[in-house]
Amino acid sequence: MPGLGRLPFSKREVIARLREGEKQITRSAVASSASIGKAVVEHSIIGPGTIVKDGAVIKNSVLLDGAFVHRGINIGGKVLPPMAEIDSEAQDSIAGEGPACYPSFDKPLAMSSG
Amino acid sequence: MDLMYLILAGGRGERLMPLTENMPKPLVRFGSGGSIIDYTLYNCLESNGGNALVLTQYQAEMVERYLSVYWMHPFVSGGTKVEPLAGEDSEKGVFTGTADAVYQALAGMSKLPETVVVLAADHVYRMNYRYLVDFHHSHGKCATVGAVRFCPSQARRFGVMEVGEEGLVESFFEKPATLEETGIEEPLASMGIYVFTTRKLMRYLERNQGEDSNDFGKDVLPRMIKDCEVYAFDYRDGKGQTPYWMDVGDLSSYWQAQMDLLDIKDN
Repeated sequence: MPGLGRLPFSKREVIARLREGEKQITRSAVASSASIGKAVVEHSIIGPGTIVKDGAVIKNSVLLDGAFVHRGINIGGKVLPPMAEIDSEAQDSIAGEGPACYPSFDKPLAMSSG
Repeated sequence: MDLMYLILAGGRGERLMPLTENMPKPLVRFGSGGSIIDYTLYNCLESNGGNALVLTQYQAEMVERYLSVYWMHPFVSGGTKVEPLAGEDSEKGVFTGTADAVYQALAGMSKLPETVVVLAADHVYRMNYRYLVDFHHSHGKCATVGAVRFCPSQARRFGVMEVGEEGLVESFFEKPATLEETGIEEPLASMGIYVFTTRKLMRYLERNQGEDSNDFGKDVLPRMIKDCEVYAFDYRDGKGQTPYWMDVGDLSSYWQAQMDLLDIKDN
């Protein structure tokens, strides 16, 4: 049964890890199958199969299954759909200001071919 | 208790696009491991009141498989069951609205449950439905609507109700542009969850069959309210506060609820 340990109001949902190796993950829920490089993940939910490469900064965001964030990309206040791939070109289409910025999908996101 | 949960899980989820492009709304991921519908199913399981029927339409097979893999066993273990009913398997071959889905589900049953609890599959909250059902039985009218207090500036997102002292719903406005236009001083918002006395509900639903629009909020509930048949259950916790509840049917609220989830400090 999914979710029972992951419902809101459960301490288990929030995995707070500070400086685990060279990544910084704070106040975030990270699926065990996500792969996070030397990146900053703050107050975000990282779904299964997500890949976050070195130097990326993810804040106040939700990355759904299989999302791929390239090196050095900044994402704030967004929801990335499953299998979304964000490189420097795609970042322009989701640019926005910090936590007050709600997700916007006015422009198409780059999607992975796989 | 002769009770059944009917979970409305057939919507297209257009306001959640592109998340619902290849996935039915109830199955959209919530948190790092679950799906939106888990909250409603968990509430049913915890309330332990009866069987659950999940009414599906858009990508119904995916919902059916999800129930089969993750939820059927826990329900059976608890002495109840959860089953899907797809619109294409109903008598008309399609559900034409929320009220029609419930009508067709009930009309297809050999024996009607005395009480039905109609729930949405895209709400994030924890609730023991037993209190809601007990309240419903205490007044004996046709319907009880789960209700919460809300920020007045958000009125346009809700069905807004004026409620008398005993809980009788006196007027209802579906998503008013502003609270001022309703003239209600102490409004409650409908949570979109309902308890019905089935026999009485069927009379209203039968009357609505054949209409172009077949929706609870727009079509059925206003008629019941006119007949003084609806009470509101003011959902509060033990401290008198409104507990967390969020309709995550659009991207903004979906994002907000996930951020809220991260801010929960204690259980």
